[in-house]
Amino acid sequence: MERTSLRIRILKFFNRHPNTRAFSILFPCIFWIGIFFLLPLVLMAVYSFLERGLYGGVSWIFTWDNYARFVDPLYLKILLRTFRISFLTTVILLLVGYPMAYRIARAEKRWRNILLFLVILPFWTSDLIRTYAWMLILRDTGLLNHLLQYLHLIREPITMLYTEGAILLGIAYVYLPFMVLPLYASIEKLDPSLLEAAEDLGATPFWRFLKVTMPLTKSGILAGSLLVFIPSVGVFVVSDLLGGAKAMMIGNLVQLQFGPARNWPFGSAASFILMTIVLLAVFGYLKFSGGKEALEEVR
Amino acid sequence: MDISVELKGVTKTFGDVTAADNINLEIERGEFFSLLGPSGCGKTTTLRLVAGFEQPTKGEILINNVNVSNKRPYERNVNTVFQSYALFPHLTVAGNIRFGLERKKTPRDKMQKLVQEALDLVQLKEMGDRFPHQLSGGQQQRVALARALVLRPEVLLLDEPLGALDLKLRKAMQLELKSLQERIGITFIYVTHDQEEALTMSDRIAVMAHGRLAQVGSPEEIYERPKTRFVADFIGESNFFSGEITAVNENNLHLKSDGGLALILPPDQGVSVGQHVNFSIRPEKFKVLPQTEASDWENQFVGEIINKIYLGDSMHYVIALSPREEITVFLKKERTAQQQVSFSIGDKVLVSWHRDDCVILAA
Repeated sequence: MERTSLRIRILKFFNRHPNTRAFSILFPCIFWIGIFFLLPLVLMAVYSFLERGLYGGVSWIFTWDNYARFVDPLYLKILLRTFRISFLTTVILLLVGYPMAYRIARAEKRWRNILLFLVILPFWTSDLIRTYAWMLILRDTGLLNHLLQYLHLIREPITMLYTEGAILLGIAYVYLPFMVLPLYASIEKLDPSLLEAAEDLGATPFWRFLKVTMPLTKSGILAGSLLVFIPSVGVFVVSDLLGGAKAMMIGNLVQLQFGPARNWPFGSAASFILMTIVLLAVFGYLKFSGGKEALEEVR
Repeated sequence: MDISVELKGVTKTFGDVTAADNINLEIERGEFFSLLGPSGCGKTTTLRLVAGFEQPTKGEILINNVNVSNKRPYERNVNTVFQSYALFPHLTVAGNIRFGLERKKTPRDKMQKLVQEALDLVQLKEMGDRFPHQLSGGQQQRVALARALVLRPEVLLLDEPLGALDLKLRKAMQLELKSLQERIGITFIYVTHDQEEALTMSDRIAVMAHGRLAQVGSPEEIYERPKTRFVADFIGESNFFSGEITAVNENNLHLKSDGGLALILPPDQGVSVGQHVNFSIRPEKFKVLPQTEASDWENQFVGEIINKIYLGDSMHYVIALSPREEITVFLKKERTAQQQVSFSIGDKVLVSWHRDDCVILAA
């Protein structure tokens, strides 16, 4: 009796104040984002305009220096390399992931889940361990060089580890599922009779792909590209282990500033520069490809 | 005779299922040809074989006297109207219609003209800029039709194109399709499971069952002279009898039915005394009179009305002629006829029918 009346009173309160009702539902979400996303972001924004403290931390003195410092060719090179690697990774994964997703989506039903399972399987171990595994395969005395030497294809080991190529391979390997899954989802929805219609109207397989399959799976292509590109820009573990010191990415730079270099302000500034460029790139990409509508369709 | 499409011993198997079994067909140029049958009879498979979506396991398909059995769909001069319409959702109506023309490298100004003509043909003049999802089912159907016809195919294949429309619209579209086909003179191969649709529209019909052709003929032949019980049963409604031949002469067959009725049938070659035969009579062929009146038709028996159904423009009676034989009779309600008389359940009536309305069926 008591409880019911309390419930009714709460409901009546919400009816009189509809805005509080919406807020009460959103509160946990707002709380979560506020504490774990917005607050750190604001902190970093503030830090990026301060001077570094003598023993780490920050000194409360305003400065532009952290941003100005970035114009140094050294850092611009890192920035450029980061975007080159991320872009290439995305392109490679599109080229590899699309046929893969297509094949899975068109496989017999009983095979489909097994194949999807295999795509996700690598997630069962941490990507740190998987990256170490790649080190064992790629290094001068590693599996691949041994194999090539054994087959007498090469005499001296080829340097594969600690190159940009190794980073590319490592990132592509880690992010493959992020490309394949959205592509699979959009290809699987594609009505096979549309493909037949295209062929019926005179389209060769290539033309059919260009004019029907690709436009109709655009949402998957966009989603997959974004899901791969955005996180790969911030990679640091893979590039650290497979790229070494020679092929530093901006993720490593940020990690370095917050870690050993103890320069939080510069690390923060680097993060914000990265974030701004990614935002602009993504915005431009969506604008250019008319993808906003396509992504909304996915929802 | 000018043959547009020819199937020679075409067989298609999927695993151990034979979807099309030794199909032999010749379809004339400009003909409206229907493949009719229940679902799973192989009619759609046959259409897909002609379109090129499937390759025959055995046999040959000739279009315009050229063997196309192993040609891909885009290499064949045929176009399809799909059951689901299969309109490209990312293209406008005009874009859909242009799709095939672009592949043919049609000059831009000519293309514009052809698209406009196609839109006019299906009465969608103002709809060129719309997207498929903005159209009604009937309009989408017209776009699918225009998209296929704009390419001037040798043959147009239609896979239950009216299946998704409501009854009224379907009836209207039947007439429209038929007159359109007559105007443009393109060969139509039309797949349907709706026997009424096939009868209304077709020049010829192939009735299919279990992957085989049960009968090929004009609508009238198929309806009036079904060859098998399956055809008689599938097309319209039929009353089935069986019995033993008791006498054969020049003009008549005499038969004693399983229920003991002495019947007169039209002469039929290859039937001999003592043989057991099946035959059918259409429900609208009967005359029903009060028991006291007389009929001058060959077969007449007294029966008892055991059920009646009122259908507005007609009455359906179920009449028992013998303990083992019940027939269904359709009587049109005509203002002038004496048949205006309405019977009640339990009434004894005189049922009569003409000798020639009995159709002897193959075993």
